[in-house]
Amino acid sequence: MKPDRLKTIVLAAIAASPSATPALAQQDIADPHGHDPAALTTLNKAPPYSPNAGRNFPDRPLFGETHLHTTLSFDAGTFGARLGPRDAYRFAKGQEIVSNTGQPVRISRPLDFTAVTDHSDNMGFFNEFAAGNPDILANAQAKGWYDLMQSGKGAEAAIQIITAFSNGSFPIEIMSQPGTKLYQDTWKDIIAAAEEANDPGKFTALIAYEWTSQVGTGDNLHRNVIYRDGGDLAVQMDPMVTLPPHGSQDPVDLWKWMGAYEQKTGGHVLAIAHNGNLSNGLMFPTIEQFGKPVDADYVAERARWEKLYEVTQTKGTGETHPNLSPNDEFADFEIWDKGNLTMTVAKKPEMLQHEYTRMALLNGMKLETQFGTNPYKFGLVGSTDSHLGFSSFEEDNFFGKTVSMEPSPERIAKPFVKTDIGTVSEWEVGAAGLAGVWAVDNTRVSIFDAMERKETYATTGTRITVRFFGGWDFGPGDAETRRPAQVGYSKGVPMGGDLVNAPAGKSPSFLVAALKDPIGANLDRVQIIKGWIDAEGNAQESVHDVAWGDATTRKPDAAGKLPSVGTTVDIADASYTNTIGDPELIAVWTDPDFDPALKAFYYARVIEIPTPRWTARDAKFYGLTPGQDVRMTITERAFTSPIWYIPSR
Amino acid sequence: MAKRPKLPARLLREPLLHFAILGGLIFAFLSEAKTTQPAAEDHRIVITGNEVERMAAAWAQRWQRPPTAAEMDGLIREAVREQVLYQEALALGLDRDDVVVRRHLRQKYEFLTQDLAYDANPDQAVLRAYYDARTDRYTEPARLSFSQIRFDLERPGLPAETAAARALAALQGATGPQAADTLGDATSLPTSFDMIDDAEVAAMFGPDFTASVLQAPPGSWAGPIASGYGLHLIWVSDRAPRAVLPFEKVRQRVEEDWRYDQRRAANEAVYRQLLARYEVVLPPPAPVQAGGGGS
Repeated sequence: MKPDRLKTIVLAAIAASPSATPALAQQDIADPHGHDPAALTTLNKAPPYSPNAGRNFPDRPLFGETHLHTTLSFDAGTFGARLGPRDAYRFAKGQEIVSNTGQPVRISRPLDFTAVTDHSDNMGFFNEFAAGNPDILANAQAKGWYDLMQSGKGAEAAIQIITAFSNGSFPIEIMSQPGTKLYQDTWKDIIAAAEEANDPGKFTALIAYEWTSQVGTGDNLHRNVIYRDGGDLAVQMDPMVTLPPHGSQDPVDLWKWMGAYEQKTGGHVLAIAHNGNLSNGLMFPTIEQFGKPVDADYVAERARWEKLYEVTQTKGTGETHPNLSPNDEFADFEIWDKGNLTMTVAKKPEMLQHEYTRMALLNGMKLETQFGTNPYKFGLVGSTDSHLGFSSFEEDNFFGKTVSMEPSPERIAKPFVKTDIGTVSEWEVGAAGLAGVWAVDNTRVSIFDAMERKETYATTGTRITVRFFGGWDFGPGDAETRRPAQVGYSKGVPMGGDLVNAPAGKSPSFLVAALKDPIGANLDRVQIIKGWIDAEGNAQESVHDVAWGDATTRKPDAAGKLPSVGTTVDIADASYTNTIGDPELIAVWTDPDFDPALKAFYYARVIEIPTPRWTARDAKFYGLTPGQDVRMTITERAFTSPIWYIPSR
Repeated sequence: MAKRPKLPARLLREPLLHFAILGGLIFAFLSEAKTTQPAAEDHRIVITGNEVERMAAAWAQRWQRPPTAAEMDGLIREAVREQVLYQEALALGLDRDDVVVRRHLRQKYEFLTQDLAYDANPDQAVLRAYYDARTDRYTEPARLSFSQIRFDLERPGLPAETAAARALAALQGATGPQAADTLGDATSLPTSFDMIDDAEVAAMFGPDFTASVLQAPPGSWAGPIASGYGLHLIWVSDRAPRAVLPFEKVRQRVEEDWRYDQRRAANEAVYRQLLARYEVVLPPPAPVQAGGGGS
């Protein structure tokens, strides 16, 4: 497969005749592959002179956070987080704040939107607990945690509290529960903070919360619930929790709550699941869930409410696993596969197939054949799951996931979770990720609607721009356009869309255009990942390099394998240079093995050249020599939402 | 507070005054508490009717029913036991130099003093002065319309610098930005922008590019200027500079910022004031470690 790399234009005419008149020179140096107004006419009847007139697609994606905890989350508070939603929004808007450990911190560039997602269970508990509310401390267990915290063992107290919560032994009599004043005051304050920070057109503060379902001793089934609405609607119902009498651990009951909310208020909500990698085989069931068979109702409701999945965050990246995708050389990336969230049950290999995105996308197509709906037809986002009261995802500016991980010379060598089952070290925590949303306006409604139509992608923390379109008529010339969005929307569907009605004899073609982070690293390559269900009903996948940097000198070998881009990382100096890779890659790719009878999905993966991981920055800053096993470089990446091909019946 | 015009407003907002008043209140609170607590010297433990009621209420809130007589007796016995052992522990000085007690007291003190030692309801004049001192913070962003032609740094043929310089020479006398659609190396970066915020430009091209494009003269091709994507010639066709927003439009933001600053400053001032009462003696500084620290 020859790459459709961005073609460059030779200014030979100018070189030959520098004294040419402007008019002549302009003609001579014209880009022969460039946008041709005549061709556009067929796409766009009588285009106006101004290229912006009538343009209803955005110039750039909006970058934001959909998963952030503050002191109002009981575990974050216990870990020592003192910053609340208002601090989170100040930080997201680019203002300097003081971290929980007294260190000044500022984001490199403002975010476009943020959803603060505090745990709905026990919301606001910590403030009362830390203030020494005697009614709470009358409970022996709470008193024990309190004393632990007071003796400087805050992290240990946090682990105990989270464990108690996860295995259901948290004392119910001291919990902040829906219907109580403490609970409602907390929810109102969360909403008020979002209303204050929301600034339509410039910054969107989405109202949200996290529903923190954990099965067994800590199998992660968490979902973030995002509101399209303002506070006037969101305040009308207390959030869904997991603990009785008000709540449930079963996602089916969360969906019922979502339906009830929409019914009652006329508003709209969606749910984003995360960390299937810590669910020990429960996140993407195919046969049974909560003791009931997966059935037509389950798949229909899941598809209705869960339009997005969070594929990357601080606790690992869940695109795929090396065991599931042995032929994908980039599959082994920031993997967390030792156990469940609390490390109380070890991972077994057979769990993996129900935990990772790519396999879920494949299994979803199988379930569609069985039940008529694809439950795992979701788009992708990344976010942090920070428990700091501010988002942290930049490798050279990483404040960790919890307060115990805020910058210090010790963190690189400390355990994050340690049990008899195993240890996850703090160095394994990733500085990730971000949600890219192709919303037309920076408003709650516009961002939510883009999420609903899955026109989103995930990055592992950098601001890569990627557009991805599928259609039946993209040709090599479209890779040379200066307006990929205009061509893409005119001739195809964007990420998150469906390809239907395959014209006879045609294969689907895809236009993918990626730009590096404007102040970040160059791009190594763009890949398209195809998954399909073969004629025997088996799941299949393939990875295709479709564009890459340094293409004039870097060619696939005889077996078709593209050589590595190399590295410029100086680990000791925690630096790199953009002397390899390309700042921009664009390609049109046509599926060479298309069978119109078989279901398929396609998504794009954009990979950066290697850069220093946050661990390298720590080592340099504090003058440390980390252990041999500590990863010091990273290849940041973006994953787009898929485009699905749906065969005609 | 506004109803007491005789007190100078400025004094009312003085954090240290608040702190002094607060100190008085804490003292009063502690003294009052003392009168209801049994004094250790006379070896009497008094449980008042109010305390019994409080215990019963806490029980009821926890268990959703009032305590039985036996349970109430148990609660009172426990309260007496706690008081006896507490008094004996105090008499032995067990509260001194205990890390748990020390941190607990520190936190209690912080909860009492944090966020209280400032006036959370500033008047208009204060906010106005705060705003006047920071008008650079309360601006409508600069907006501009521009077109760009990009030259790839790794382009084949002429180096980007040369190609850009030649294109610029060829474009002297151009009367509009139309060449942006055809010249240079093809890019999927948009070529033309219609009155967008400088923050938007920075999000797409980076801060350095943005600073340069804001300086460029309008109405002609200029450059080249660098971004993460290569070199660019730019044509600025329209521009509205940063403009200070009127106070009335940003009053809410000013108030939030003011409160944020005040809270931090007041908390720090309280600590400084307390610190000033102490002489702090530290061990001589350790020799500087080679390779450590870092900035």
